[in-house]
Amino acid sequence: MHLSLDGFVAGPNGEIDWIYLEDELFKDGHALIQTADTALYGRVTYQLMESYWPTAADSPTATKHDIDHANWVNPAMKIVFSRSLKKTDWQNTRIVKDHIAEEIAKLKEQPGKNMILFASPSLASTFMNHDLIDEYWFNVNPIILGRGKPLFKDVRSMRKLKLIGSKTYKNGVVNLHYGRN
Amino acid sequence: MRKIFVTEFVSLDGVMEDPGGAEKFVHGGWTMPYWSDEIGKFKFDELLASDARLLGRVTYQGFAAA
Repeated sequence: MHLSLDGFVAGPNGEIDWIYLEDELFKDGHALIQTADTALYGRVTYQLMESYWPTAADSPTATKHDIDHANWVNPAMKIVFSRSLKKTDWQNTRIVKDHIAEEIAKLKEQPGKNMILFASPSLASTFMNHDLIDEYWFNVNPIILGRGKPLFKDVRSMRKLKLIGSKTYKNGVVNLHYGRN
Repeated sequence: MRKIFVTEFVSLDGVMEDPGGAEKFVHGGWTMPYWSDEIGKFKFDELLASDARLLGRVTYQGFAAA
């Protein structure tokens, strides 16, 4: 997930135009999703994705990244965690309303590849509070936003992490890869 | 022209409070498990590379008492 230096995942009105991107980031992101077959989203991120990816690869201006990600995400299993969402039109989507920790425990027991939580800061906080996350991949952007949607605001307890790796990109983004301590 | 550098201990979620454990913060001293000779050298070199320290009151009083 993309983070500003001060821990925001989006600007005050959901802006994500400050995120630094480059081919190498797309390449590594694509390699990461190949280890997974399931995407986890909160409602807000899900609805943003649902409005883009089903047709992203069909656009005449589609980039290689658009096509690569569309080819993964459209057939992938998508689980959206929401109490208010009633129905979705995007293929292979399941809505989970409650009992998140129990649902995740069940999903982990099923055979398959990894599950990736994309952006979804509120859901990520909930996952952190339930200790459901095995690995974190943060792309720390060289920017201080000052205001916005904070990732860690609602995290309630201390958790020690183990640094698995880090990588510095040409555009100044630093990827931090953490696991459980 | 001289430059201003900012140097901080910071947790992943942006907390800078009481890295050394002298301020009675519930997680005070949280940097200690990660201290190493390499960090010690970095902090010492950093000190030698400057000739003025700019401190807020709380940090200043902490340094003065140490």
